[in-house]
Parts: sequence; C-alpha cells; structure tokens
Amino acid sequence: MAMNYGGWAGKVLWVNLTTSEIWTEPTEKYLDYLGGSGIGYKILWDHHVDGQLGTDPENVIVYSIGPLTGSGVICSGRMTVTSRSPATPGHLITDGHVGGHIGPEFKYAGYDALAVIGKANSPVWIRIEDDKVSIESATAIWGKGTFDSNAELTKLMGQDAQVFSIGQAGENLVPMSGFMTPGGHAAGGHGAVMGSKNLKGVGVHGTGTCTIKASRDEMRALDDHILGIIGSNNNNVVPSTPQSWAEYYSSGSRWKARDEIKWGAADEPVELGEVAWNERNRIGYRCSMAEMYVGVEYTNKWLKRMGGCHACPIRCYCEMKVPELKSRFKFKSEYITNTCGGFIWGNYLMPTTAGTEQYALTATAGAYLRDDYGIFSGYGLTHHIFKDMKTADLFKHLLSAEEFADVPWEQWDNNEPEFLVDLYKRVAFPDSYPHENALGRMMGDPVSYIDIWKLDGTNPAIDNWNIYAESNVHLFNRSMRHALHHASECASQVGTLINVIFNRDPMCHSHINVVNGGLPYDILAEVCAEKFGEGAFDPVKWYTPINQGKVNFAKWCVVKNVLHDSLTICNWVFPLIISPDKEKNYRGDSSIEAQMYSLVTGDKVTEEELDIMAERTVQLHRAFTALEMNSNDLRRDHDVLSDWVYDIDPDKNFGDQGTIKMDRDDIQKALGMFYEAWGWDSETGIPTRATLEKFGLGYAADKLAAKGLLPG
Amino acid sequence: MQDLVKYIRLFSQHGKLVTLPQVAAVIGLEEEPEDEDVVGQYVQLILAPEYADICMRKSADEHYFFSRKHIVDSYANRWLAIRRGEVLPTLVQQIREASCQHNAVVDESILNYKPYALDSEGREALREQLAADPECCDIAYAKTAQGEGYFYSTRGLNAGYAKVLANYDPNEWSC
Repeated sequence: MAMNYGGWAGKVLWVNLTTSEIWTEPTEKYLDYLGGSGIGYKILWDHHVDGQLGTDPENVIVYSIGPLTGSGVICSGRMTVTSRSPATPGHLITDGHVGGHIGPEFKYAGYDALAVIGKANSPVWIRIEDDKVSIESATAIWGKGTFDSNAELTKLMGQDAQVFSIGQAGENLVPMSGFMTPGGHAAGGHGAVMGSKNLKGVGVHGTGTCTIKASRDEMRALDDHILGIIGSNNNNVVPSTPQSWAEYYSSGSRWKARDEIKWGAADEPVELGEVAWNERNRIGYRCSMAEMYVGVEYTNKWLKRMGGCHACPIRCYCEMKVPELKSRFKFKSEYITNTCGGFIWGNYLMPTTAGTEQYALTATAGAYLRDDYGIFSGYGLTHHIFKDMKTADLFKHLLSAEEFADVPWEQWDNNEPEFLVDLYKRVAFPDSYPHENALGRMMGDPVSYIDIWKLDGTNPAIDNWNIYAESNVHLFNRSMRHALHHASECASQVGTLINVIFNRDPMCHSHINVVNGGLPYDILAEVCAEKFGEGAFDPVKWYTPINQGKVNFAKWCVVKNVLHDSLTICNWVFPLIISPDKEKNYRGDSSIEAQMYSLVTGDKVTEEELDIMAERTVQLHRAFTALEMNSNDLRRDHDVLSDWVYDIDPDKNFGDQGTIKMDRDDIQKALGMFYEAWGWDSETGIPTRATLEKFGLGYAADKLAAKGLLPG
Repeated sequence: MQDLVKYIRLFSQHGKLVTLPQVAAVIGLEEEPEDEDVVGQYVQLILAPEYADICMRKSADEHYFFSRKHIVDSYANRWLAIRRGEVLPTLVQQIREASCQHNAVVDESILNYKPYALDSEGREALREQLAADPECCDIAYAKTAQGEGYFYSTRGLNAGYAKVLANYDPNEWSC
C-alpha cells in the first residue's frame, strides 16, 4: 500500500539505547499488518535471535498504535506493547495493551510506533516532542514508584504530555511487572524488559493531528450508528436490575446505573438514577461498576466519578477517593483509579468476604501498591497461587525458617490489608532481604518457581502438591503456565481454544462481549448460531461436544481480538454483535470496525477483508511461537492444558449439568478442528507453507523450513 | 393531548403509566381532558413523528399512556396487570417464560423493583399464595448459597439445573 491513506502517522521511531542513535523508518512497510500488534510482531520477527531473552539488550520492545488510534472514532485510545516477556517460559513473545491517552499522543507526535533496542549505561527516559526526540537521564526518578515517576515526567514535559513509567518491580527485573500511565492504565509482562534496558519511562507530547479521510458528517453518522448499538463495559446490553426501559436484566451486568448508586465522593455527589439505552448524553453513567470491587456501600462513599480512555463513552475506570489510604496506610494520596483486575487481585489473595470494609480496603490499597510498584499478577495467577498454597499451609515447608518467621502471617489470618503492604514490597524488592525472599520471588516469577519448588506433584516435602491439579489456582495453559482468562468456565470449548493460542493469558473479550452481554440464553444462542453455526454457544455449565460452530466462534474471537489490538480499538467493548435495541431484535453490527477503518483511512474494505489483514498477524504470531520454541509440534509443546480442566468435579462427567469440566478426547478433537480452521497442520498445529504464503508470510515459512519446523 | 405528552414521558421515566385524568390532576388542569374520543385523539397524536414514542393501552376500561423511550411493552403489560390486582398470575407467567423460553430462573429480588415493588410482607404473602395455588404446582422456590430466593418452573427446568443457574456468577473465574 502507498502512504496516501488517512489514519497512520507515517513513521516508526527507533531508539537504540546502547548507541544513543535515534532514527525513523516509514510505516509503509508495515501497513499490511495494520498497526498495533501487527507492527509489534513484524518488528520482533525481523529482529529475532534464537534463544534470546527478554532481558537481553538486543531484544526489541515495541510500543505501537494503529490507523484508528487518536482518530476520534469511538474506543480508539489503546496502545499495544510487544516484546519477549520474562513472564513466560522461555521468554516468548507476548503483547500487552494499555488504554488512557498515551496511544493517541504518539499519533499526534507523528509516530505509529516507538521501537527501543539496546541498553543505556545508566537510567534514562525517552522524551518525545513531535520530531524532537531525546534520551534523558532518569537518575533522579530511578528507585521511585510509578506515581512519583509519572508526576516528575509530567512536570518536566508539561500537563499536555502523556507519560508512562516502570516502578521498582520493573527496575529490579521482576518478571511479573509492567508499566503504568497516570490514571491507572497499565500493560503487564514487560516491565523487566524496560528495566533491563535502564529505561525508566517515556514521555510524549504531540502538537499534530490525526488526518482522516472521512468528512465530519460521515464520522458523525458512524458515531450515531455505534451509539445506537453499544452497551456498557464488556458490551453488557441490559441493566443489572429490573428497569422499565429494558425487557431483560442480569445481576452480573456492568450496566450498574440505578437509583441505589451514586458518585458519592464527587464534590457535589451525583445521583445516577436509571440510564436508558437511548439516553446518549448519559452513556458515561451506565457503567459505574465500582460495586463489583468494593460493594455498594463503599461505592457510594468512595466513587468520585468514572473515567477512562480517549474517545470512549463507556468510562469503565473507577476514580476513587479513599481517605483510609492516607489515614490508615500512610500512602501519599487518598486517590486510586483503576478497573477490573486492578481492584480484584487483592481479594483473590486475602481471605476476605465480599461487601465488608476489609474487602473494600483490600481492593483499593492493593491496587495502589501494585500500581505504584508496577507489579503484574499474570491475570491474578500469582494471587491465586499464594492463597491456595497458604490455605494448604505449604509455605512452612518451602521457605527457610528465617524467612517464614519474617512474614506477618497473622495479618493474613486476621484479614488485615496491611499484609499486602508487606507482601508487595517483597515482590518489588526481591534482593532486599537478609534471607532468600523466596516468597517474594515466587510471586514475581511463578514460571520459574513451579520448577524451583517442584510444584508439579513431585515434591514430597509438600505432599506432592500439584499446581496443575488445583482448580483454585486457575493455571489453565500448562505449557505456557498462564492463568485462565475467560476460558472453559464460559463458552466451553470456545473459551478453551482462545486460551490456547497466545503465550500469556489472552486478554480476549470478543466472546465475553456476546456471551456475558446479559441477554437470555436463547437469544444469545440464536445470535451465535446465525453468526457461527448451529450449537456455537452452550448453556451455562451444560456443555456439549465440540462442533464446527464453536470452532468458527473461537477463531472469530481471536481474529477480532488481534484486529482490535492492531487498529487499535478496545476489545473490552467491541465487537458489537448484540445491542440493547429491542427494535433491532438485540442485534448489533459486526462490520463496525471495517466501517471505521474504511472511513478513517480511505481504504475501503469489507469486514471479511479486514479480518484477513488481522489474521495475518495471528498467523505470524503462531509461526513465531514455533520458531521461538524451536518446536515442530505445538500441540505437544504449547497447547497443553492443566489436568484440573478435565478433572474438576470428579463426581460429574463432561456434559453433565452443573460442571465446567472438559473432556480430554473432545479437546484433542477440538484442537484438530481449530488447527484446520486456521490452515495449520491438523496434528502439530503449525501453520503450513500454503497458509503462510496465502497471508504473504512466505518468509516465515522459509525460516521455519530452514529449521526443520515446517509441517510436511 | 399534545400538551400532556411531556408529562406522560416524565411519568414513564419513573416507570409509571398514566391516564389522561391522572396527568390533568397532577398538573392542575382546571378542565379534565375529554375522553370521549381518546382513541381518535391518540391516533392523531402519533401521526406526528415526534410523538411516535407514545403508546396507549386499555386496561379495566381506562386508557393508559406511556413512552416507549422509557417503558417496554413487557413492563407495561405487567404494570397494568398488577394494577388490576393480577400480581400472582403476572409473576407466574414471568417465571414460566424465563424457565421454558430463556433457560433462566427468576430472582426473588425482582419483587423489590417496579412494577411489583413489594415490601417483605408483600413478598412473603405472595410466596404463600403461590404455594397454596394448585394452578401453580409447577412453580418452585429455593435459595442460593448466599440465601437469596429464586423461582423456576418445573415445566422448563429441573431443580438441579435451576440451582446451577441461580448460583451462577459470570465473574467467578474471570472478571
């Protein structure tokens, strides 16, 4: 494609921290990969070195956006970060995603990506102000948490800039670390990559714009269409309580606005009331989902307002004012902003009860600590591991006597959130203890400690405790040692297959934005059957054998997820194949992304054509994984699930009512069908040459063939 | 009737259907609107696109109005039935529909909300009425692990699966 399209900025910025060289290259060579994840994977492929670690200086970390980022289309505020991740076995490539405003700022500064290679001699940060790019000393902020670091970078660059930084966890090369922007937006798994480069953070200020091809009227018409079908967070399209404007409701819905809830900590408390789906001026009130994390009582006390990302009407970030953060925990601020996992992990770890003050304080204080240290949890994995092992009383057998005595266990036993103050410090500062600090190291590097502590059922000191047999730990993909994230517990084999593809938890909500949308099962099943084939969606906890409809659904979910991470569009809201509009029979529009892309870039594509462009990146990711693992059989080496997935509920069989258990033979059959759907070898799950060439990835086929990894 | 539309919409925002005399009384109209040809007036009203959201229903010899912007048909029908004193049959129909058509239980908590809006005494009385009515022998009541009540119809769900559905939390494993 020639660069006469709208959307893209046109340049990829490179910084070599070893040599201090700074240069740009045209985005044009990456257009076939769209942007975001696509650019990330292509750059990483081009710089692949066998056996490279994420913490090697020559590992590249890519922060990238897509043609829609910063264009003003709805939900177009995200940035992707791609690199080898120390949080995976073998430091395989992963991508993370961050919201807020940092992605659009790169666009306005004139860049579609920032690629960083090398290692600085001393701590630095990268300063970007349009075409003025410099490497600045970060000595003054090295050792500080992300809150102080981001504040300092903002002071240096001005309030109009966007910044992000690692905390002490990333500086200390803790694998389970990430970076944070102000406002609680984060991406996990690459904090140690930045730390290994002595890269403390990045600041961006752009005075340019994002050029788009569409007219204002065309964009307004698109917005009107989207606002007519969009739901709340996770595209929940019904309210959480019975309300007169809605035919249905679901208590689990993230459309929480109602008379009972208010933004109580606002200077003038805001009574939300019910918000009907056609009240477009009040869409920002819909979500208000703080009660999921702190309960209704503390929502009304602490929730100041809902915030979120660039160009997003949904506002899923809970901005909380919690006086106890200062008065009880002596933190610098009583403010904490985050969403979902950011507030939830603490209560996965502590023995709290929902609705209590302890629960609410654990959520908020825990979020504050993890955000400031820049700690990543692997979608809660480390927290589930801790709680399960603590409950089984295993630590006394695994920690030295000195260390065991040093941990304030009674705080955990008594449900005191102060336990997290102690624990997270151990995670962020693994080397700062007179003893081995194995507990802190395990929480920061569970992938290694599964081997070090022999948690695979082969350690008689802990009664052969087997992490892969423990459903409470949620370790789903055994090969990749990553947590489930909307896996078999929802949408049966569909969620399972989605959780096989990536090298970390998939962060895919394409299926959730349908199956958890809140509409009754019969309507959702009908929508899925129309889209993917009969039987694509099973009833809750009543599963059926694999069928082609489910395979189609799973593939579609992954393609849409990678599409969103490439464009960039928020996969926590899109795709929109259901809607709150009864007059539309609750149907949405799966071609929205193609409409957005066509209008912004001027490159008119159909939904199918755009999906193919996204699938190119999925194919490259799969080939790349085979290359990095030096594997000619990903079914054996990558796509193996934990035993508990099949053995949970021993009194039930697969297909019985009331269980999420899967069947080993059924999943092997599902994998084969899934591989075929992608055009991969049906036995090994490796892309064939024909498939790779179909997607213009002949170079990847050549590379795999040279290493004897290509099937056939 | 056009003058009363904004009040009809206002009542609808609060989940209430209204008759024209009720609106007139609330806003202090000195003359009650003539209801000889309410239907004719209504038809004339909705010919204008800006009033297309206004709906009319006849119930117990009265004409009720609501706005489709804030009230759906199913809610309107239940509201009117409850106003006619048909609380039990309305709930039973809702339970059967949920169990047989939607593969879902009905949380007892819906009785706290409009159009039922029952207090604890009212809910208990309704449960007793339900249990005593032989026409409702397919309607079952049970409690979740958290102690919250739910209803289902055995015409659509068995007790075991109803329990699974009632206790299901979509955010239990992933948020």
